[in-house]
Amino acid sequence: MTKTLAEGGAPTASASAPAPAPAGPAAAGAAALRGVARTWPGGVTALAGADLELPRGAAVAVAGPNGSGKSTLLALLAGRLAPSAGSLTVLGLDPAHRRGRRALRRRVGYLPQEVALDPEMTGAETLALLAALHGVPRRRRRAQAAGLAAAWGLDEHLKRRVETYSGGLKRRLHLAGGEVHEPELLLLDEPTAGLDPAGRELVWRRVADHRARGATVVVATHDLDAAGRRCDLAVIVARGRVLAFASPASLLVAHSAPDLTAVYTRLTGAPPEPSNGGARRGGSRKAGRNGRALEAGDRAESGEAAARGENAP
Amino acid sequence: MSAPGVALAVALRTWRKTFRRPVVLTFSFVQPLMWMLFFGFLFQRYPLELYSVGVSYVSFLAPGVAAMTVLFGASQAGIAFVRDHQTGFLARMLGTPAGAGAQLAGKLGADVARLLAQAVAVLALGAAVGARFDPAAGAVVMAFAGLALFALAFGAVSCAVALLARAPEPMSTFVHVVNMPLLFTSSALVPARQMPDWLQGLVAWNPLTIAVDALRAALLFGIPPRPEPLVGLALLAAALFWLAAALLRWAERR
Repeated sequence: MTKTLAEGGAPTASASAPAPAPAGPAAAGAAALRGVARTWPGGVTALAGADLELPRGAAVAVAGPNGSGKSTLLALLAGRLAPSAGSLTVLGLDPAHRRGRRALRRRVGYLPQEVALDPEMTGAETLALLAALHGVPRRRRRAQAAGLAAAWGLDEHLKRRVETYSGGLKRRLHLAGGEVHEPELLLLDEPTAGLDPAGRELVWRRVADHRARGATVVVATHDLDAAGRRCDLAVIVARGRVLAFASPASLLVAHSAPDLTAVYTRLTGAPPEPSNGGARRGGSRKAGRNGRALEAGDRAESGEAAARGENAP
Repeated sequence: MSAPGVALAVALRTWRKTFRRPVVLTFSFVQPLMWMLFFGFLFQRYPLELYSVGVSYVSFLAPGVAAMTVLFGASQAGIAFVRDHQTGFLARMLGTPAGAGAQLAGKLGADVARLLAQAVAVLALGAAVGARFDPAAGAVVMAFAGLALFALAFGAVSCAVALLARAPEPMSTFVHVVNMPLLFTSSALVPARQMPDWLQGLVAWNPLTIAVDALRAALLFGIPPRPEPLVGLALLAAALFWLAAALLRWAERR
C-alpha cells in the first residue's frame, strides 16, 4: 500500500489528521516509490518494499536506528543506487536510466554523511570548483559563494585551507557545497552529526530556507525533537521497512504520544540514538572509505557505502 | 557547463595544488640535475656520433633526462585520484553533471603542461652544465608535441592504475616497476645502436624512445621528427585516455 500524506501512525493504520500543506508547488510529487527494495549481495535486505510519495516543497525527516535503511533510501532517491525490486521516479525522472540519472545530478543535491572535501583546497576554491562542475555561470559564482558563506557562517574561513578547519566547519562547508546549484531536491544524510547546538540549529534553519524557496528537503536524522518541529513529514524506518509515514502531528495523534521520540520508541522498540554524535555512534561501526567488508546492517546504513554500491545499469 | 569550462576548472585546481607543494616541485628538479651531473661527468669521455656528427655526452644526455623527467612526473599523475578517492572528493566531483572525460582532460592537461615546463627547465639546466644545442623552432615545436603526447599517454596509464588500485601502495609499486624498465629500454641514456641486437628491437618500439629521439634531433640538429612515429604516439595517447576515462566513469558508479 502506498503511504501518502493522509496516512501514517502504525504501519497498517491511517492517520486522521492530514499533514500541513507544504510550501511551494505540490502539483507533481518530488518522488514516488512503488515497492522499492534493495538487497545487498548475500541477501541482506537494506530496504524492503517501500511505498512512499514525497510531495514537492516539503521537509521530510527520515528516522530509524542505525542500519535501518535511511541512507539506502537517500541513495536510491539520489540515483546513486539502483533498486533491486520495484520502481521509483524522482522529480519526474527515472533514475534507473542513464539519462535520468544525469538529469537528476543537475537538480538533486545529495550529501552523504561522511564529509567529502579536499583538505588542500581553500573553502572558496571548494565552492567555486563545485559551482563550476555544476554549471553555475562564472559571473554568478563569486556572489553565490559569498551568499553561501554568509548563510553557513563561513565568511572569515573561506580563504583558509580546509585542512585547518575544525570538524564542525568542515561539515558546514561540506553541506554548503551541496547547495551551489540550488537543487530542487536536497538529500541530507545525518547533516547534524558532529555539530554543536549552534551548528545543528544552522542546519535546520537552512532546511527551512530551502523549503521556503520551494525545494524538497529529505533529512535522515536521529534528532527527532528538531524533526518534529521543523519537518512537514516524518518517515520512520526499521530493519528496512517503512513503519510510518505521516506528518509529525498526525503521528502524535495516532499514537497518543507526547512527542515524536515516543512515537519512534514505540514503533522501533528502542529510543533514538543521541542526535549530536559523530559518524561512529552506538555500535554502528562504519567502515572507512576504503572499507569493503561492512557489516550487513552497517552497510545498509552507510550512505557512502550505499553510494558506492552496485548502481543502476 | 561546457566540457572546456569543466576541464579549465579542474586544470586550475590541479595547478594550484601542485604549486602548494613547493618542496615536491623543487625535488622534481633535483633528481634530473643529479642524473645530468653524475651521468654527464661519468661518461664525458664516451665517444658519441649522431647523424655523423660528434656530440658531447652531456648534450646527448640533456634531452634524455628532460624526457625522463616527463616520464617520472607522468607516472605519478594518478596519485591525485588516490588522494581524492580517500577523502571522498572524487565521488563528489563525479557526482556532479560535469562529464568524467572533461574532468580527466583538465587533470591530465594541467599535468602535461607542467611537465613540459619542467622539461624546458631541465634543458636549461643541461645547457648550464655544458650541453650545446642547435635547435630549429618548427622542429622543437613538433618534438615537444611528441613529448606532450607521451606525457598524456603515460599519465593516462597512471590514472588508470590509480582508479583500479585506489590505494597508494599499488601506485608506488607501479611507479617503481614500470619507470626503470621503460627508461633503460629507451634511447634516453644510451644510443640504441650501442645496445645488444635483441634490445634494439625493444628500444625502437618504446614510446619513450620516440619522444626522446624527436627531441634530441630537434634540439641538437634542428631536424624535425618523422610524422609516422608521432601519429603512433597520438593514437596510443588517444587509446589510453579513452581507457582512463572509461575507468573514471566506472569509478563513478562504484
